[in-house]
Order: sequence, then C-alpha cells, then structure tokens
Amino acid sequence: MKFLHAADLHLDTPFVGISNFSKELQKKLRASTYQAAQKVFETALKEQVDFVILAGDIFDDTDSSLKAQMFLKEEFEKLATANIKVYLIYGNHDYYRNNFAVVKFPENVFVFGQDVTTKQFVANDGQRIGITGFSYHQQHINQAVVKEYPQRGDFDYQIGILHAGVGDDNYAPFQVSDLLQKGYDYWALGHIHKREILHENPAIVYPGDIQGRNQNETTPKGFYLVSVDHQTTQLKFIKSSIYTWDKVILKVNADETIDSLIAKITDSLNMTDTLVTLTIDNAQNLNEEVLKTIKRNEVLQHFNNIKTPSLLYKINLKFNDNPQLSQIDQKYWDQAKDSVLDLDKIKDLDHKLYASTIIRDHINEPDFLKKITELTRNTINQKYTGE
Amino acid sequence: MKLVKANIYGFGKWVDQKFNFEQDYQVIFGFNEAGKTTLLNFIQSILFGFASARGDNKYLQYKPKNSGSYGGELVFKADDSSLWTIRRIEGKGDGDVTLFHDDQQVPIKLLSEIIGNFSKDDFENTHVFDDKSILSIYSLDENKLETEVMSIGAVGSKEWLETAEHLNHDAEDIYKQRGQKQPLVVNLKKYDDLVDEKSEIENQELAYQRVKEELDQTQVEFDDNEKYLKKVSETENNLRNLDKKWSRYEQLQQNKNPNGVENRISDDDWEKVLKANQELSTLKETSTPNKIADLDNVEKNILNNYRQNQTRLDYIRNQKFELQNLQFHRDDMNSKLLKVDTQVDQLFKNHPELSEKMLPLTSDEIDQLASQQSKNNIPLIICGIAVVLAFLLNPLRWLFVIVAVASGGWYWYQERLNRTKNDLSNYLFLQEKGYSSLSKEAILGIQGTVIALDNFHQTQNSLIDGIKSIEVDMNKWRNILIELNVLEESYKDDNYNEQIEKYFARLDQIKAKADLAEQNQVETQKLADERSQRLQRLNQEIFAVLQKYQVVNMDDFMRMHTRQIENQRLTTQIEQDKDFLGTDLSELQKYSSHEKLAEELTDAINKKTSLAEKNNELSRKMGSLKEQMQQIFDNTHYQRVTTELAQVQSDIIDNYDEWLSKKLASNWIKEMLNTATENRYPKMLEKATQYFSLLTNGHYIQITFNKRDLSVTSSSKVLFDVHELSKATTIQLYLSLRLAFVTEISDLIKLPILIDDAFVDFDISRTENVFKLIQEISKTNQVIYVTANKPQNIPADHILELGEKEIAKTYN
Repeated sequence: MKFLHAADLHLDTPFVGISNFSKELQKKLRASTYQAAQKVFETALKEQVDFVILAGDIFDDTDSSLKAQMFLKEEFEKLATANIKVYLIYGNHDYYRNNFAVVKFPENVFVFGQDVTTKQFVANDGQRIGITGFSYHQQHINQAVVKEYPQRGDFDYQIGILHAGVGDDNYAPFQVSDLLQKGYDYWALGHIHKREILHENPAIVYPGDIQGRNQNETTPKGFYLVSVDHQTTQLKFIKSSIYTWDKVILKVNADETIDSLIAKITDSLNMTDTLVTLTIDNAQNLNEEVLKTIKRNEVLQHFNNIKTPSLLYKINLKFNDNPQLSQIDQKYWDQAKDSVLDLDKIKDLDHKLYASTIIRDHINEPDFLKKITELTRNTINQKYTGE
Repeated sequence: MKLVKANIYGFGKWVDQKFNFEQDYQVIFGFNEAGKTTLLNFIQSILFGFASARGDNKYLQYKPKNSGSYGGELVFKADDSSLWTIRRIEGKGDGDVTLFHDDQQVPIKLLSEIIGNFSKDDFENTHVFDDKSILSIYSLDENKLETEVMSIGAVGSKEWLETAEHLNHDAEDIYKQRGQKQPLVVNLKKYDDLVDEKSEIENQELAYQRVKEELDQTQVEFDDNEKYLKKVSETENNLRNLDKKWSRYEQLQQNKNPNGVENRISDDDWEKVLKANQELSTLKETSTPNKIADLDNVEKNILNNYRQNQTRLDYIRNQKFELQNLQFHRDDMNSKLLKVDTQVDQLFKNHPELSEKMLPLTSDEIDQLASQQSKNNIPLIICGIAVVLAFLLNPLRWLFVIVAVASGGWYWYQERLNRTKNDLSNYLFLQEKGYSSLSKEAILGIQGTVIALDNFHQTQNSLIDGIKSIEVDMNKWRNILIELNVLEESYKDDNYNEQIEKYFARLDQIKAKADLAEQNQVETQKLADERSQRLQRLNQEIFAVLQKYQVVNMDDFMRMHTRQIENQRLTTQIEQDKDFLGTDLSELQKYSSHEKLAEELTDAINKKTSLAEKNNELSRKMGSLKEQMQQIFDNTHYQRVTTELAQVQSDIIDNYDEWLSKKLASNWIKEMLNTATENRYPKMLEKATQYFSLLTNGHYIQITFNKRDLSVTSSSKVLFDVHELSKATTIQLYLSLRLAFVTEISDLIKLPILIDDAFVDFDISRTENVFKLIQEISKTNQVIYVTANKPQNIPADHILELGEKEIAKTYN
C-alpha cells in the first residue's frame, strides 16, 4: 500500500519583495505553488498510490481560491480516473465556511468535516485502512481536538490527519505523547512549513509546505511518499518546490572592493532555481564606499540585471560586535539590554503601532525578541563602526 | 602602566628623538609649533595605530618628510616593574607592530595587557583632553550639555549620546506617532485602505456561487420554456398546415360527386362525332370550287348586249376603219384650215395695204384698169379644186398639188398683168371692192394677193364645211355607239375607234370566259352532287349519335361533353383533395369554419412569439451570467489587492523592525549610559568634587548625585542644579567628571591621561591651581600635560621644555 502525504499547498500564495524581478520571473514565482502541487499529483499517478492525503492549508486564502479549486478539481479528476482517492482536511488558512467550495470535487475526494471522523478504506493490497481527521471551521482552534480522536480501531493500518502545532494554543494544540497514545500507525500532520519527523515508528510527520513561500522557508520543499509493507512504514521525501529559498552568509574583510565583493557574490549564486538571501557578515570591515554602494541597493540591482544560476533576493548587512567595544562598560550594556529589550516594553513603546494586527502578530511571533535583539545589536554595531 | 620612554624614529617633525617621562606626571612646555601636539599624537599612534591615509584622518598622518623610517617605540613600566616595549613602524593598515616584554618579543595580542580592550576612539574619548574635545563641548546647547554631563559614566558617552540621538532621528524618519509621510505611517494607512478595498470586493466564492445558482435556475427556466416552445411550435405548424389545406378542404366540401344520370358519352362516339363534324365543316367551307370562272353581271350584260345587237355591233366592228377615216379627214381639214389661217395671216403681214374687205377684181374690171385684162378664173378654180383634191384624194395627192401650183402660178401671172393697167378713181368697183385708197398699180399689184386671199377664204370656207359634215357623221356614230353601249355617255372624246377596239377586246375576253364557264359547268355539277351526298351521310352519322344521347343538336352535344369532362375533372380533383388532405381531413372536420381555425392559429402564433421572446431573453440572460461567472473567475482586482496586501504587510513588518531596532538601539545606548552613570557617579563624586573645586578656583565645594540628578554646592553653601549653572561652569563640571571617570576606570585600564593645553581658556590656566590639579590627578593616573604656559612650582625633573637646547640635553 502506498500513499502520498502532502500539506500546506498554499495555492495562490502572493509572493512579496519580488517587484525588482522581471515580470516573467514574478509570474513564474506566483505559479510555483501550482506547479509544486502538480508535482504531487503527477507523482501520485506515476507511483500508482492508493490515496493522497492533503493535511490542510491547501488554499492560501479561502476568499480567492476559485482558481485553485478549479485546478484541484481537474487534478482530482485525473486521480479519479486512476482510481486514486483523496483525503483532505482544511486548515487555519482555508478553514471551512458555508459559502466555500463552489466547485464540487469528484467522488474520489473525501473532505473531512468539523467533527473528528474516521473513514474506512480497503487498499489495493487488501489492507483495511482507517483514516481519522477533521477540518478547521474557524481560523483558530484553542481546544486540543486530538483528544477527540478515537483510539485505534479495527484496521490493518490507521492514519491520523491533523493540522496543528505542538503546544500551539491557537491551532489545536497537541503533544507528541497525545498522538502516540492513540496507537495509530501514521500521523499525517500539517501546519508547520518546516519538514520534520517528530517521531519514527509510529511516524509523526510534518512534510512541510510544497514550495517555499518566503526567504525564511529555506531548503527544498516537498512531500512524502509513504509505502507500507508488512506493517513497516517507509518514508521517501520527494522534492516538489520549483524554487528553493536559501540563505548565504558571506564573510568580508577590510580590503574588499565592490568588484571583489561582486565576484564573491557571483560565486555564491551557483545553484539553479534558488532565491538567495545574502548576509554580508563582518560588514563593519567594509570601507565606507563599498558600504554605501550596498546600501544604495546598487549591488542588488546589478544582480537583478544579470543572469546567474541563483537569483539574488536580498542583501542583509551584518555588523558584528567589535571586540574592542568598551568592555569596560560591558556590564552596563548588558544591564541596559535587559531593561530595554523587553517584550512588554516593546509593546508599550508605541500604542498605535501595537494596535495594528500585523505588528501585534509580528511581535507575538516566537523568536521575535531574538530577531529584534540581533537587529538592534546590528544597528548599534553599524552606528559604532560605520558612521 | 606608566609611560616611561618614547623613542621616535620619524614622526612629523620629530626624527630620531627620545623622551623620558616621569611616572606620575610630566609637564611638557614649549611654544607653538614646538611639536607638543605631535608628541601626544605619536603616543596615541604607537598605542593604537597610525591614522589611515584615507578619509578625514589623513591630516593626522605624521609621515616624516626627511626620513625613511616612520614610527617609533614606547616603553611602559608595569606594576611589577617589567618593561613593555611597543614598536610600530610603517606597514599595512595601521602599521607593523612588534611587542617586547623585558626585551623579549611577545605576540601582539598581548598588547591588550597595555591597552586593554580600548580602541583609539575609546582612548581619545576618555584619556585625551584637548582643544577639540573642549570646543565640541562648547558648541552644545545647555540641554545637551546637561545631558552630556549626566552621561559621563561610560566610555565615549558623548559620541554614544550623539549616536543615540541619530538613531532616534533615523527611527523617526521611519515612523513618528503624529507623522504623515514616514514610510511606516504610509504603509499602515495603505494597509487599512487595502483592507477596506478588499472588504468591498465581493467574496469571490459567494459571488460565483450566487451567479452560478442564478444561472442554474435560469437554465431550468430556459429548458422548461424551450420544451413548451417546442410544443407550441408544433401546434402552430399543424395549424398552419391545416390553414393551408383549408381551401382544398372547403373545395372538397363543395364538390359533391356529379350524379351519373346522364348517359356518358363514350370516347368512340365523341371521336366519331367530332371527326364527322370536322369533315362536315370542311366540306361546307369548300362548297364552290369553280366560282371563279363565272361571269359577273357587267360581263353578262355586255355579253347579252352583244347578243342582242350582234348585227349592228359586228357592223360597227367592220366600220371601224370608216370611222377612223372620218376622223382622219376631219383632223386633216382642221390642220389645213390652220395652215390656211396661217397663210392668211402671212399675207396680211406681207401686204400691209391688204385688207379684209378687198375682193378680187373681175377681169373686166382689171381690163378696165388695164387694157388687156382678161379675167380668167379657171386656173384659180383649177387650183382650188386641185388643192381640195390634193387634200382628199390620197393617191393622186401629188398630181393635184402640181395642178394647184401650176394653176396658182398661172393665175398669179395673170393677176400681175392685170395690175399693171391701173386705173383708180375712175372705177367705182374699186370702192366697192375695198380698194379705196390704193393706187392703180397697187391695186393691180395686189390683185394677186387679193385673189390669193380670196382663194384662201374660199378654201377656209370649204374646209369648215367639210369639217362640219364630218362632225355630223361622227355624231351619228356616237349616238349609235352609245346606244349599243360601246361608248359611255360620259365619254367626251371622239376617239371612237380606240373605244371600239377596247370594247371588242373586252367582249372577246368575256366571250372566251363564257365559253370556259360553260365547259366547267358539267364537272362542277358532278362534284356538288357527291358533296351533298357526303354531307347527308355525315349529318346522318352525327344525328345517329346525337339521337343516342338524346341531344337535339351539336351544340347541346358539345355542352354535354364539356359538362361530362368537367365532372370527370371534378371527380379526379376530389380524389386528389382527399389524398392531399389525408389524415388532416378528420382534423379539419373539427372546425366548423375557417375563422375558428384562423383564430386558433393566431393564438398559437402569439403564444409562440411570446415564448420565443422569453426564450431569447433567457438565453441572453444565461449568456450574461456565464460572462459574469468568467469575470468573477478572472477577477484580477482581488488578486491584485491580495498581492498588494501581502506586500504592504511585509513592508510594514520590515519598516517596523527597522524602526524598532533603531529605536531600541537608541534606547539601549541611553539606558547603558544611565546605568553606567548611576553606578559610577557615586564613586566618582569625591574626585570630581576635588577637581571641580580646583577648576573653579574653589568657587564650588561639593558635587552631589541623587536619584539620577546632579547638583553642586557653592562655597557660599548654595545648591545649584546643573541647568542653573553658567555654561563655563557646566563645562568645568563636565571636565571634572570626565577626569574623575578616568580615575574611576583606572582599575580596568591604566594609560596616561594626555592633556593638551585643555584649560587654556579657564581662569585657572595661568594659576598654579592647574598644576595642583595635575598633581592631584596623577595620584591615581599618570598625566602627560603639554602647555605653552610656563609651569610654576613644579619640580624641574617633571618639566620637559621643548627647544633645541633641551632636546640636546635630553639626548645626553
């Protein structure tokens, strides 16, 4: 018995920060989620799997998913002709609404409802499969829905589909132990875009999204082809991403010129279909002219205008702690940091800004403080060494 | 660490120079341009590196102009009395450094044993007091100055404060609470606008759903309508068909089958009669084939007339030439008469004396006139007769003419003889005979002429008489001719001969014709007999048939046949109609009248029209709905807004992070300065108070720090807040605190304080208090003080006077 486990297709994802790219590339990027999805369904057909699991967040935005729905319908119909079933749940992005799903999916598709349900199914090799899952009907789910999942039933193989985050209170929180306790053979998770196998045997798997959607979603993305033979589950990752986001760190020294820097950057842009976020480390070493050129975006523009295997998406400058920076006052710097770089103080810094949902959500991201501390330090380093 | 020696290889104006320094303090005295500042820069450069050749620092380079080697050595004495030698010579970047510990070369990283973690800037900010740093303090406004004063607790506090301000300023370029055009403000606004815009766009699915439902409903309506339309169309077509057939139907209704009472004329009979009748009429038409040979009435009359007057006419025919002769005579006489008339006229013309009255003289008379005048008229008569005869008698014409001419000639001769014997008045007869006025000779002379004239007259008269008699004959003939119908009364001319010929020519023709007619008569009769026989038989034949069908005459028979043909046609028509109407007949029979059918048809047409209209309308509606669906599906507006939203959201976060990191950096710096101040000030205050007192010549006696607030007490025990102090005093306070700060951090770093005439503008500069201050500072930190003012009350070994002499001495 074979099946595919994909999640977070996020069809129709709007890509940001790509306005510098050529129109053609922008178009390709926007189409990349579709192409990646196509890869999933092509693989299903090629591998002649029994079924495909889509573990939520299939559409990026339910309000405008018509095109995506049409696309899926067509793909599902292709699967139907090959007698491949589809089990899908909706996640926090595409949570189910009454007016939703204008397009009627073909018969081979089963969409889980709001309540935890178990579907039975006999695979081609005669194994009786049980698939348990539910769909989001609202954006946030605070209760640990996994508690409502039944204990293992009378199946040869049981799969749980769940769109949630470990201990994430907004999204049906769970712990790995909760899942293990159910006695299932496979947990097809969705929601976390980073590929991760939380547990082996039974497998608890985040396949990650099928196409990186921003600079932070690095590494090739894809889905899992799962083969079950004599109760042994084997996972095979299959890459589906059209473009791969990558982060490259380039250390520079004091005698760097624009030409030498461009040569170094060119060397680092050697992977095809890769979008590179470049961090120039030890930027404090660069002389002022070079620094100014980078800050005027001239280097980025240079790479936007020439062809390189990888595409340069963004350049960050990292100014490191000057080891000589007044260690005399280090303890005061440290003391001051603790009082200034405080989440509550940051929230209180400007009420108007905190009132903005985007900013509030941003502040509430888990590693916000770490990131902003780095940025702040970078700023001070830059100020200290640069100007 | 105490700086004990400086060995300059080459630095600015100094070449191969050596200086020794006292371990507590060293006052270096020299006039302007003596090289004091260069010396201090040498110390800094060896410690922290040469100024780079680029940017603003290049004027701080002191590459000697006259020497190949750049740089030198500094020797420091550690607390354990070991010596550290730093050698820095020209090299890459800030120069090549070699480090010796007690003459032993050691790794450069051990330099931190001397300078700690200090950078050149740190050192300048803490240990160097010169015009530059003092002046920059002077340029601050009071608030800033106060802030500076409050921030001395950290290394480079002044620069850090500036940096914090800059960062804050930069942050406000990104966002300001009441700002309008800062990017974060703009983007937040844009985001709100986009959210509004998005909410105004109908949810795509909802819209699609709605239109789809409407479309489905319309489709159902359309299908129903179309079904109904189809049905009504069929009905309409049926009715239209019936309507078209109605006239035939009606015809059928009226065309009762003709009853077969009448004996039907068989085709044979009809053919027979028709043939017979045809022959009959042909025969009738060709009844008189030889009529042309018959004489007409005129001809008959002519012939009859001839037959009645055959004798006379035949006589006339024989006398035709007689008549012609008569005519000829008359014409001849007429022409003779005309000729004579002409001759008479000629006579008169030739003899003007001649008159009409003149008569020929008798021979007696002539004789009278002339002696031998014999009257002889015989020649004349002979002449006359001869003339007449010449005219009348053709065969002897020439003889008579000769006789006439001979007699005439003779007569004329005699006459001439007569005229010669002329005797006028004596002769009465002359008068009588019309010769009144003429002479005897003339009379005699003219006698011939008169005789001629007289002859002419006689001729004339005889001719006229002859003509008259001929005319009479001619008239007689005419009457006879008229009587015999040879001439017509109207004929005025007298060319009878011709007329007679004409008459007989015609008569002969008629006679011939009459003969021919008579000849044909027999044959014609025979034919006529045959024809009448045939006619009779034909009539009998026809009659027999007519009889058979009880018809009186042919016309009736024809009518009867026509009627029968018509009936036949009708019967056929009815058959055809029945075939044509077929099953519709029963349908048609349902309608009592055409009006009813027409009414029903009109209803059906109306119904169909309205249904067709509805059909079109629904079809249009479906088209428009499908288009709407496509539009909703293709809606790029929503996509655009979504993309823009995602972009602006990402921009907002970028802006925010940038703003926040700058803001936090600024705050962090300030907080660090505050923390440092709070921690260090209490410890610095004792020293700072001493220095402040010295710098103010004892004017202030106390500095206090309480709850992040600094205040000073004057000698008169008055307490001042910093902002209440004069600018000069505030700067003195600032310097006091800075000097105290160096001593405060001396446990972390021990380097000499370098003072470059920093107090030159102060009241104490020319007093001994400045040296007291130096001595006071030097208790905790080595001080190297360069000044242009001559030091007083200072031990001589602590004074280094720059000048050639002293330098020479130092060398020794």
